[in-house]
Amino acid sequence: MAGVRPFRPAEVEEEDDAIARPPKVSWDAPLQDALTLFLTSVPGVLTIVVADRNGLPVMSASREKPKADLVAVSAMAVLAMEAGRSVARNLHTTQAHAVTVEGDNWKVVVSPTPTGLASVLVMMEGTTNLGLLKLTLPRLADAVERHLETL
Amino acid sequence: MPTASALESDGSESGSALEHLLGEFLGAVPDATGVVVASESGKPIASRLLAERIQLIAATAMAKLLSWAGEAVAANLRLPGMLAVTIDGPSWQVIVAPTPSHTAAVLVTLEESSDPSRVHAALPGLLRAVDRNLEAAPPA
Repeated sequence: MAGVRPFRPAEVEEEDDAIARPPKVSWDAPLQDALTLFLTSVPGVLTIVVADRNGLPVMSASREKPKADLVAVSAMAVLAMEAGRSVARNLHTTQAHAVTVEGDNWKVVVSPTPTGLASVLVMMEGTTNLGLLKLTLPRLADAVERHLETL
Repeated sequence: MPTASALESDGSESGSALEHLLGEFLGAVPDATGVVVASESGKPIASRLLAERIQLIAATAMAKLLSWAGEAVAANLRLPGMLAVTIDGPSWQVIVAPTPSHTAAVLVTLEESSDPSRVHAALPGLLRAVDRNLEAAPPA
């Protein structure tokens, strides 16, 4: 799909001579691949950011050249998730598993990975099928956690 | 309907008029199980909730923080006009939405079986009404 831009792509050197060298794959390539696969397989998803539990961005992928300040975005997303969990705790409900910020024609879903090692932020168009996203997001969160544990 | 009227309520006209407004909203939108209004500083002004023994002051303070963080996420992604933030649990949802003037925020609780789209459709009217109510009689 055109326009998918991983911010930190696997470093594959171009083969500009006859000597074939094995491609250099960066340490975070599997995580980047998981984000890119999600970005291309769920219609309407524009940007994905993975943030650690301190709110620092670990990795991201976007359909377009990113214009956002990802450090601020991930910090605020993790804060929103924590505030959402706290609202739930204080209303004596069970644990919150996602926070969705909505505008007229956009949505941003923030969801923690299973053990809370990281949070996944997904920005999408307002017309995106939220049901499909909510079915697939836990699998992405699982994959993110697996990849982060191996780093 | 038993309600957790754990309001730090002033008992003022504004409070009772708001509670009446919330009662009307719950009557008109049965998908919502509870509704709370938080002031600009995050204190509860009025509420109609089924749950008991909840920490209402902490919940509204955190809801205000959540609303602020949601607006910050949107601003940093260069997205215009945040309307609401929804917290999803396994069998419930809480919608937090600022009023148009941003002088208050409204929390609406829903159970799993309810239809959030009906709440979303009715919410703008409630938010405008809360604003009008607070303008007419600002909380003490």
